[in-house]
Amino acid sequence: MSWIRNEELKLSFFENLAIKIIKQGPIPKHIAFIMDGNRRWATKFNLNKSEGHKFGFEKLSEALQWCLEIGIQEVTVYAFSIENFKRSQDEIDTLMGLAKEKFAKVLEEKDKLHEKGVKIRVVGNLDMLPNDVQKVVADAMLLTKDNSKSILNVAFAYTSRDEITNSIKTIVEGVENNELISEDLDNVLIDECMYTNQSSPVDLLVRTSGEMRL
Amino acid sequence: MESMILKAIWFIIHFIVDLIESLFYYGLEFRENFIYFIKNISIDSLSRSKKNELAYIEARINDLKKLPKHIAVILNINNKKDVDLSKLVNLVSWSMNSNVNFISFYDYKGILKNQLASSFHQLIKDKLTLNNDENLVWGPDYNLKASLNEGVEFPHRNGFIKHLVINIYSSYDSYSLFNKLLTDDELSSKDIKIENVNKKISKLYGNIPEPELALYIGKTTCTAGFLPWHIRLTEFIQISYKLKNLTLDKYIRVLYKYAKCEQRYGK
Repeated sequence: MSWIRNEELKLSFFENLAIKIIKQGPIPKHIAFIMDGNRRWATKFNLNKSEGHKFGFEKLSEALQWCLEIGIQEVTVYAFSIENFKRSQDEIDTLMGLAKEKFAKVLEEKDKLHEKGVKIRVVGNLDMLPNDVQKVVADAMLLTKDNSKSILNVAFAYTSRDEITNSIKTIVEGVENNELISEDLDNVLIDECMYTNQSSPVDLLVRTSGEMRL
Repeated sequence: MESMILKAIWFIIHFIVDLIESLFYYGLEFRENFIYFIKNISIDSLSRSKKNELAYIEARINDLKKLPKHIAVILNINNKKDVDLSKLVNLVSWSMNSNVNFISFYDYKGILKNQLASSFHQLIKDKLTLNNDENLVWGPDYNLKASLNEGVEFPHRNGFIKHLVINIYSSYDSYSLFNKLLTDDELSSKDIKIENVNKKISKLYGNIPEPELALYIGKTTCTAGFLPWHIRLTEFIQISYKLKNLTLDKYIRVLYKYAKCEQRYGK
């Protein structure tokens, strides 16, 4: 199980052909994935929930590989919401453990990542994460910060309201510290203060499991 | 040479898909017109007796386990002529009869809000017949009596059992209104938490609750920039490809779909 699965991913002839054909037309610059339904999937196949999350991550790696092959420049993945902290401590620990494991793997695979030019950014309220997770996240981001061919954003401890609120807080602090004057204040500034300020707008949102919430 | 062949295949595949999609769409439209003809319902469904409509709706939504209190209607309007206001009036009428308390119309460019609001207001006054126990209120923007910060108090009693607040929004409300928050003197940086911001935003938007359901017209599922703060848990369900083909049965179908959705709130 790894981030960039060069050797392991074998696309069939038709899959390769399909990718070649798709590349002939316009492709989205930025795709976002909301990974939903891991637990329901696990129950359906009589597995426990952590197995569900592991398989979910596997599938996500595949999807990221497809995106790289097609040439999508930016991919955002909604991995963990602040609302998910409401779950049982067991499950949170499993998810955090999975995250630590995967981010630590990034450090091991840095050559492949550099080769593919993948930059990893983690967006969200990182203060809410346990310290050891924060550390691996920071390491992964620092390691890949100079890559520029494609960007992977991982939304971790993220909700949109938190992002907006944080943005407003930054601006108000700026005003209090006299770094900003009232003429500067507009909604464009709010945009620029978000966790995701460096991202282009999302062209396509994929949500698994059939829910219609965006 | 290879890329020319691939490009050709791309065109062919897209052509076939477009063809199938058009056939499907025209087939649907034909079927709807046919059903209209058979049922002999007049195009202006407002002329259907109000009592019948009320009974029809009540019967159909009786066994739904949940109903939305606030419905958002996301419209895709490019110019004034695209909009058939009488269809929107229908939506208002149907919502009133399904115990909806807030209905918000939205289009990104603000055509409804800036150019058609008074016609819409007038059409509702003329065409919508209200029973004695029904109350229709216009939201702060159009209601000169309610100032922006007070919003509309809810629930109004005054003897009314059914109560519907109408709001019309545009991208201005989604984004520019936030500037008022930034220049709010009462907020200092240590106070800024999600709950406080939420309270301020509520006041700014006339205390409307979050929409549980957003109906959209057209092919694309997209929030179109509708009130980003309010839609974190909103279900987006397509009601009709085109506004002109909007029918009561489509509305009821959406309510059924909404009732089936499970909301876990992150747990």
